[in-house]
Formats: sequence, C-alpha cells, structure tokens
Amino acid sequence: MDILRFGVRFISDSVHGAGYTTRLCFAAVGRFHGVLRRFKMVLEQMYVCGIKPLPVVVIVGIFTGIILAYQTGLELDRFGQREKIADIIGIVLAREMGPFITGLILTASVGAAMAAELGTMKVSEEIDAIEVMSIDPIDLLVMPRVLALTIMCPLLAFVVDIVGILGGGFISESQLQIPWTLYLRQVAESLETPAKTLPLPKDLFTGLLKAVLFGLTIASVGCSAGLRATGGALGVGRATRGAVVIAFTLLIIFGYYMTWFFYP
Amino acid sequence: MITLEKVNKAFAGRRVLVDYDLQVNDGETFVIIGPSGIGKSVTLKHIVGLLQPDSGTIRVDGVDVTNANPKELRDVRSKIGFLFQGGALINWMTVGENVALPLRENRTLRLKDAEIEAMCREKLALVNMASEANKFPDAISGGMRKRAALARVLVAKPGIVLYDEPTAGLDPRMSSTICNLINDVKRQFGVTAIVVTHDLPLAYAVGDRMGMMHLGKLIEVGTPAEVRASKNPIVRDFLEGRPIQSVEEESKLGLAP
Repeated sequence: MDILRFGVRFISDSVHGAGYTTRLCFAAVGRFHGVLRRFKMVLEQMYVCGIKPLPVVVIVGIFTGIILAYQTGLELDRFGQREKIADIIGIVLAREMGPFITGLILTASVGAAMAAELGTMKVSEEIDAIEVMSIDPIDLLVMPRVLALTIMCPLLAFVVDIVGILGGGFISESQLQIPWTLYLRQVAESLETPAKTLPLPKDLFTGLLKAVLFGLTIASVGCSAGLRATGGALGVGRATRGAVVIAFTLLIIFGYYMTWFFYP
Repeated sequence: MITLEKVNKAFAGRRVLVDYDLQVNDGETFVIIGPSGIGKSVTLKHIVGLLQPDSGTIRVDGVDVTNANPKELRDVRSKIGFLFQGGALINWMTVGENVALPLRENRTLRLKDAEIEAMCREKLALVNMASEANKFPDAISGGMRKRAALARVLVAKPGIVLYDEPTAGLDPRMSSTICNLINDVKRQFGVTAIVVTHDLPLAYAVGDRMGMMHLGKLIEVGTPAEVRASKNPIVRDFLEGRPIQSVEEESKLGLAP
C-alpha cells in the first residue's frame, strides 16, 4: 500500500510540477515586453548567467573538442579516414555537443543557483512579502532570469563551438598530422549547408536554437523549483537537487526531439 | 474593519482554524496571543490572501478576500502592511532599496527618484535607521531588520498593519523599542492593527483588545485588563507560564500534530 501511495503521490507531484513550470515559463515569456523596466536586473542576470560561467565553459569546450578529436581520430585512422575528423568535429559540436555541454554546465551552476536563491527567498517569506506589497514576483524575479539565460545560453554555446573546434584542431595537428589550414577549411566546408530562415549554417543555426530552448528550460525549471520550495534549508536543498535532475532530463529529451524535427 | 466568519483551515489533516470568528474595528489594535504553532500567523496570512481558507469568509473593509479577483486582492493588499516575523527584507537589496521597493513598483504613483528618496529617508528616520540605508540586510542585527521592515511597511501608507511576532528573538530593550514604535505608528497614522505575539508585556502595552487562541479559535476576547483577569484555566496557564507537563498535554493543547 505504501508503494502504491508513494507512486500516486509521485505522479501527482510530477504532473503538478510540470504544469506549474509550464505556466511559469509562459508567464515569464509573456512579461518580456517589460524588459526596459527591468533592464538593470536583466543585465545583472546576464552577467551572472553568461560572464561568470565563461571560464569553465571555455575549459570544458576546449577539452570536449580535444577528447572528441582524439577518440574519433584514432578510430578514423584505423580506416584511413583521418581527414574526415574536421567534418565530424564541426558537425557534432555545432549540432549537439556545443548546446548540450553548455546546457549541462548552466544547469549545474546557474539553474541550481536560481533554485537555491528563490527557494531561500520563499522559505524566509521574502516572496510572501513581495506578494503582499502587490508586486508580481514573476515580473520582479523570474522574468529577468529567464530572459537573461535565454539570451546567454546560445552565446555560450557558440563559444563552446568555437573553442571546441580549436581544441579539436590542436589534436588534429599534433596527433593526426592534419595542418591547421586544411582542418579549418574542412570544418567550414562541413558547415556549408545554409539555414532557411537566417544567414547561418543550418547545423550552427539548429544548435543555437537548441541552446535558446535549453536556456528557457533551465531558467524556468530552476525558478519553478525555487518558488515551490517549502520546509527550510532541507526544502531548499530538495528544490535545488530537483531543479538539476529535471533540467538534465528535459535537456536530453528536448535535444532528441529537436534533432528529430530538423533532421528527420 | 476586518472580519473573519466561521473560517476553517486544515494542513495535512490537522485543523488549525476551527469556525474562527474575529472582528477588528477601524483604528483598533487587536492582539492575538497564544502558544507557538497554534495558528496565529496563519490567521494573518489568510487576511492578506496568502492562504485560502477551506471554508468561511474573510472581509477587509467590506471586500471578501476569499472570493476576490486579482484586482480586488491587489486593492486590498495596497491597504495592508505586513510586518513578517523575520522582517522578510529582500536580501540582495540594501535597506534603502528595500524601503523604496513598494514605491518604485507602484506604477500608479509615478513618483520621481528624489521624492522616493525623501519618503524613504523620513520613514527610516522614524524607526531610527537613517544611517543604515546603504547596508545589506545580512549586515544588520535582527532588531534593525525588523525596524527596517517596519519602515518598508509604513512607506506605502497602509490603513491596516499586521504584525507577525514583532518582538520574537529580540532582547528586552529592543522589544520595548518595537513596542513604542507600534504605539507611535498607531498615534501618528491612526492605523488599524493586528499584532500576533506570545510576548505578554507587548500584548498588554499595545492592545486595545486582545484574544487568546486555543484549538483553532479565540477562547477569550476582551481588553487587556479583562483577559488578565480571566478565570479560564487555559488562559490562566498561558498567562502564568505554567510548564507543559507531557506530550499528551501538548497534544491536547493542539500544539503537536
């Protein structure tokens, strides 16, 4: 009976959480038009979401390119296809790894911090105080965070693409004896297919679009978990952990469906 | 005027408010006393619409808060100032920014920065916090946080002020300071107030009327003198601070789940 009750409660909490997060996401996006009133706050959040994680994003991006080039290069070399390394690095980073790696880093750092900040505000009655002052907490707290991360996530994904390609180039040149000029030319050629809507390579465009969705998701999930926190420090910890787990899961699922949509 | 009629509220099966009736007249300071965890703060949160009752009606100046639409609720809240137990100052804003927040966020006021600053300075001076305006909440003491929060409440010129445990965790001198401030606020601004506390000296000093909560309702209501003279054994136990002898007794008093 306990297992059954636990199962029912788990499903009920999950459905409630998903509904609340979706409503919060739409409510925040619906308030984007008030960006000028919250301009300073949005800039502060852009700094927190985009500039502060930059060092770790660059380091992880470089090593992602290095590992990708090294592992793939060794296998390609066995088949005498080592010159294909540039195509693989360019496409994989632009389509998948760039946005995904960025999403993972931002979930663990920024998304968790959002859940903890808003969760602490919730349990210390700051959110209640904001509501009693007839101030809309979504407008004051959620909208700037969601907008900032939605803008900064694709920018950081682009940085990961660039430094990842450079990391891959370093391995190609030093381990696989592919000159830099040839490597970079082949990366550019691999990304030649243009997107239909913007003057960008299609692979880069779909990757950046993924990053936009990831930014929106991470911020909405983080804020939602924080605003639903209850029960003191333990509740804040639970909210933070929940935000990270849910955002990770959603990134994987959304990533698959976007790939399926753009590359049927 | 604030009225609660037959209000019921339960949390996870535990009945916190049971057919709860309360009437607070205009300009009156009503003190709700009772042990911790009995539902005093829950009463205040119902009045501002932070909690919805399971049944019953809550009216603030004639508006039914329980069935109010968002605009009506905003209007009601604009008349009410709520001093939270811990102050609930926004942690990443300075004291000055916290006090200015209700004015900056109220788009109908259209105040200039200089006007907002002047109003904040005035209210901070009233609570003797003018020199602390540029400090962050975690850099000031608990008493200062409560005074700053009171300045934030007063800057919006509310007609009703709800004080949730205003002296909890404060030393006797700071408690007296807060007590004097509550009386000053009443004298200067003529506000209607509800004070929730288990600090009896505060209750006697600020209350026009007071009521004791027990098992989800007010069991004794009257002037401080009348309540002090009450013969009700539960009221006497509380006023005289008789220790709780057992978990069973705690449970009987409605303090244990």
